[in-house]
Amino acid sequence: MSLEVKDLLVIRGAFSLEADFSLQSGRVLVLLGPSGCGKTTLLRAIAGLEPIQHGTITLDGARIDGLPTEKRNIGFVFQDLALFEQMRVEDNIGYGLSVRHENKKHIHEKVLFLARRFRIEHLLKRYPPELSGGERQRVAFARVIASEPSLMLLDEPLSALDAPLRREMRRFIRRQLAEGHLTAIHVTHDVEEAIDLADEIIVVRDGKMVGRGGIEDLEKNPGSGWLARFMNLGLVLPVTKISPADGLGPAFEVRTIAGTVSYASPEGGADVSALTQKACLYVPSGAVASAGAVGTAKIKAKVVRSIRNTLSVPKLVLMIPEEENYYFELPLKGDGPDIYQEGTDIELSINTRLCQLLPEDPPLCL
Amino acid sequence: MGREITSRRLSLFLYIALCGILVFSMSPLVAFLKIALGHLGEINKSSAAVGTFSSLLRRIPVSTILRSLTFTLLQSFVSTLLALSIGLPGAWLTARFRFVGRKALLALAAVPFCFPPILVILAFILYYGKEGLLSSALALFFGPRKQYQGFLYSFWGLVMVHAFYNFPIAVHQIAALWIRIPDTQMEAARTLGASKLRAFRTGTLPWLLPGIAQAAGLIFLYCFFSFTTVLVFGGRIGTTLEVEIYQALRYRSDYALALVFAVIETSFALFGILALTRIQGRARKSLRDFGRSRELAAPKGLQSLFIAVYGIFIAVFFIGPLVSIVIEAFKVPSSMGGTTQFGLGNFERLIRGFQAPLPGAILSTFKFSGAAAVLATVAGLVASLALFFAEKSNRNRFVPRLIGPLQWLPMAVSSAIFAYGWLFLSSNRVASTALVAAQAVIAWPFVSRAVHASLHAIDPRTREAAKTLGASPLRAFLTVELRTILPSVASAVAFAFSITAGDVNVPLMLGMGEVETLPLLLYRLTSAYRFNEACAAGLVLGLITGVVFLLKEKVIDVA
Repeated sequence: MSLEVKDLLVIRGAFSLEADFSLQSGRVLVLLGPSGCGKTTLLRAIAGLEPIQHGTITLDGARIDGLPTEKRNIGFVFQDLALFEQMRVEDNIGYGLSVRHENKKHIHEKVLFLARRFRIEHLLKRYPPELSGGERQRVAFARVIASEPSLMLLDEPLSALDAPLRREMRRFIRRQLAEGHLTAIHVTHDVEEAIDLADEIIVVRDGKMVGRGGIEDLEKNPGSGWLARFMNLGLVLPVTKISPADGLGPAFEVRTIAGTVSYASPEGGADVSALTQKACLYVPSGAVASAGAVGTAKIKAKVVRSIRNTLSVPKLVLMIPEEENYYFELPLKGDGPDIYQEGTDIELSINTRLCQLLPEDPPLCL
Repeated sequence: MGREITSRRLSLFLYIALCGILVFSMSPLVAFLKIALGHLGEINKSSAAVGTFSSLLRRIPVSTILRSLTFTLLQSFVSTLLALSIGLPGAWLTARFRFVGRKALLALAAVPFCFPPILVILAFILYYGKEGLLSSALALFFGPRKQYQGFLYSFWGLVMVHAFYNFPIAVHQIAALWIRIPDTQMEAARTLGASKLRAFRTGTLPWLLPGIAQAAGLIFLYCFFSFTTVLVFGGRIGTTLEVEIYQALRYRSDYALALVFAVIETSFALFGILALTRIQGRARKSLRDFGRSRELAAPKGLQSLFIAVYGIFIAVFFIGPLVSIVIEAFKVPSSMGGTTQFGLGNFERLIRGFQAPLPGAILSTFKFSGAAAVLATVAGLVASLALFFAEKSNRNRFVPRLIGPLQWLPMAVSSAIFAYGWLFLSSNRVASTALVAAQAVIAWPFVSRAVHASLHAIDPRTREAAKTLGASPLRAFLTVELRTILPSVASAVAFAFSITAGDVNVPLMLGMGEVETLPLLLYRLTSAYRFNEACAAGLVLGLITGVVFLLKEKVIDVA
């Protein structure tokens, strides 16, 4: 089922949320953003749990924004899962069917089918407080799937899990969504989770959608220094001065806190003359080469941590000496030289043709 | 080695404390039992009957007991039901919405504790009575109702007084739980297709029920032991077991019969308390399960209308009687049928008139209630510390098992039995000593429960932090735990003073002639139909208990 959210406005006290997007049938959209940015409010508005000021919500061509929650046929997995603690697992899963007065035999068969599919058959007679974190997740997911919703809304359901279980549940959810050809919106503040689950990502900040697309699209064109830094897409350097470069062509001398870079406005980068607010230089991870490589500009950095093991991609955690609170990660190609000892000052070569001069803050509306 | 000595000292302290509390709480009961059974023996000798307890059973007026028991249970049940029906909407409103008067509605929960029943009775007579303010006001609109006889002195009058006196407990207790129950389960039910009502039944009601049951249990017990209200309003229609005990003791001096009534009363009360403690455990679990309170919403449309209607209902039917006390206290009736004037005449008569009873009563109230509060605080503090240490050491299970039920004793045993028990202990001579001791026995569990709860609320990591910083166990206790619970101790003292200062049951049971406390003066003036002076005395009593309670709520509890 396809979803279209048009010109939506939700106001809660001093906070306002604006949204306008569409989602094709069978795709998974991840709403990504820091805490308090309005991701959950958007989900709740779609589910009818939050009143909207204006705008329309259309599910497969039919408007649902005027319907009460129970008539929207939307499956909602809550952050705390909201399992009915006083009911057995089987009653939790069958709840949506029983409120629709489906016959008991059908409910029982469906509950059993889902329990097998989710591997929770042995838990059917238990109560939620007797379950582990992962089991609770599976029950909550089965309960929603049982009602055959037109749209699944998942509000950070993995936030309370530890890292290994979280990873396992991510894969589990993705598989279930794909097998059921379900249209879903998943909310998270975890970039890794977003990348793992999403067909498409919308980045939300202060109630506004500030970035949209696949991870490659966002990496290619983050639109703002804030988004690039939030998603850890590469190196983002605050700019202290921009001046026209000597010589031919539309080139500029961009002075950053870590060094000066000669910059020619590429496609996709912001128009330098239009940068009236605070600017920054975005250096995608792919534009950074390690010390010693040939490049057109050099950036001074300090190695904070060198991570090289068989479990993860080798990478360096670096900091810019002039800005102590800013750390960024640089994936290492191959093993890399042994000079990357913690505390070592190094110079990074960057390919300035891949760099972008961006406003620090995202534009007010996407 | 040092650890062992500390442990032995602790055990010694626990057992001494336990003995002290046992003697203090049980001695009046034992004394009463001894006299009552001795009395039975005398009767048996004179009537040449078999000197056993079975003879007593044969003498028991079964029909009277059954009538009294039925009436006690019925009025408690109906009063509780009515109190809940009035309290539940208030709990819902205060747990969900932000509105003018919300805090005042919650603060009404203080009324049952800081306004003694006798004062509320007086208020209801003045407001709902034949010549009451409400009747007069209604007569202005609908004309005089000659046939109207008032409804106060009927079963429904008694039930209504109980309901209005206790409904704020329901508002406070249920709202405290409701405000913490998150909406997510209800919302989950709605996203799964449930209607609003079904979603409420699935997602909220199961969590709310322990809170409702807890409030209902408490109100039921208060109504079950109701004495003054039944004595005043229930005369024509029936008596409770508590009133029967009083009558057997005061007018018939039949201690054995009083004992039978008391045993039946306590059996039922214990059953109720057992249920209540179980429910309280579940209600506390609900509170622990949920985190912080929800944000209150601004009411809209019909919600605002409902709030206004509820506010008017409470103002007219509940606050109205209390306001009438103030009005009547300043209303000076004319002796020659002239117009009634407003002034301080009633107070002047009580201060300067015949016998000038008010200053003496104020002094006695402070003297006896102060002494009872101090005694209750010492006993309560020792009991709570003993219980806390015993629970903490996890080895001594005997102490918690004994102190736990002891704390419920005053809610299970008639105050008349305590009062007479202490009277017998003081050889029937020193009624004032019996008064102080009996009131302290009734008040100490409140202190103990409050201090014990605050001891448990202390984060154990703060004590551990003190120890890791080099503090000895004693120093850690003195600097962390004791300092943290001091406000709750002060609060408990204030609470103990409030309830003992307003208590009319014990002094009335003891039939004290030599001293007159404020509640006794109030009772005497009301019985003599000197309502305006009674209101003046009541206002002074209400002010004293109210100020103490406010001090506890606003200053000590906040600290």
